[in-house]
This record gives sequence, structure tokens and C-alpha cells, in this order.
Amino acid sequence: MTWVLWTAIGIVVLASVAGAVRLVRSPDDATRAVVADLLYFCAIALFVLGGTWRGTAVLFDVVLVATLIGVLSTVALSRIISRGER
Amino acid sequence: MSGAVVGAVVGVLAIGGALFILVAAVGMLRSRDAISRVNTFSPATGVGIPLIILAALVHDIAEHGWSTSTFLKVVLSVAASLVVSTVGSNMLARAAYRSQTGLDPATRSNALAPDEDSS
Repeated sequence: MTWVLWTAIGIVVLASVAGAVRLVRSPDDATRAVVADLLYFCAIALFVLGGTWRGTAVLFDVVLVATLIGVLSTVALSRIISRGER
Repeated sequence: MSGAVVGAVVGVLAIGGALFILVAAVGMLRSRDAISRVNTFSPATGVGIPLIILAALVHDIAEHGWSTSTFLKVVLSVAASLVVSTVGSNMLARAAYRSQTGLDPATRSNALAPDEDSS
């Protein structure tokens, strides 16, 4: 069980590093917004996998709030990119 | 349920979800404009995160037994990841199109262009 979770954590960390590379070398602002969304979901995945390994009690509460509210940064960045228009 | 079967199911779900997130990250690197990146991002929120949350649910049921409140939280989390994130990605795609620096010629299905020509 432990090595399976740590393999999954390693794969998600690899995906985060790939996203970070794209974030540093991005050609425009919309790309940075999409990669920011990807990094947010990678963080949720890392929290779920780490919490499963440690048996965290508040695991599902945190995940519920994270998926419901997490779209906030995406909406804010998209309004910034379009200069306030819809 | 024996420990080995539970470990196998949790492992398949968790590694499968992580692989879908890796596919989305590789799509960020290989795509050539921002709208294609929004498109290749969808496996992460649609399949990757729900599979990982389901792996945590199976592990929790095997350890602590059935709990209705946990199951309801998981259903809400998966529904939020499917619906709320899709709406956010749609807004991001619209903003990326409105502020585009250059559309890759391989990107087709430009459904927003006729509306802009008539406005």
C-alpha cells in the first residue's frame, strides 16, 4: 500500500515539475493561467495521496472545499487576462 | 475484503489518476497555443482527480467501514471537480481567445469567430 501511494505521489510531482517548466518558459499570459490551474489540481492530488498514507481525519472535508472553491483563482485570472470584459 | 485486494484496487485507482494528471502536464508542454492547452488540460480535472478521490474513499471504507457522510462528501467533491472546473476552464478559454497573441494554424473549430464578425 505504501509504495503504491508513493509511486502515485512521484508521478504527480513529475507532472508538477513539467507544469513549472512550462510556467517559466510560457509565451503568453493565458498559458500561465492554465498552468496555474494544473498546479492547483496537482496540489489537491498530493494532499489526497499524502492524507491517505497518514490517515488524516479531515481529508474529505479539505478536498470538498478545495474542489468547490478552487475555481476562484481560474475565474480571477481569466478576468485579468480579458481586461475586465466577459 | 483482504488487505491485498484493497491494496490492489487503491493502487490501480491512485496510479491511474496520477497518470491522467501526467498526461495533462505533458499536453501543456506539447501544445502550441493557449487554447489547445485548455483543451488538453481536461483529463486532469475530469478523470484524474475523481480517480484519486475514489482511491482515498476505498481506503477509508476498508479501514473505518462505511460512512454515509464521507460518501456524500466524495460525491460532492467529484461533482464539483466535473462541473465547477469545467465552467472555470470555459471562462479561461474565452479569455484566452479574446486576448490571443496568435492562434496556431492547426487549431480548428473556431466557433467564436462568426459572432465577433457580426458584432
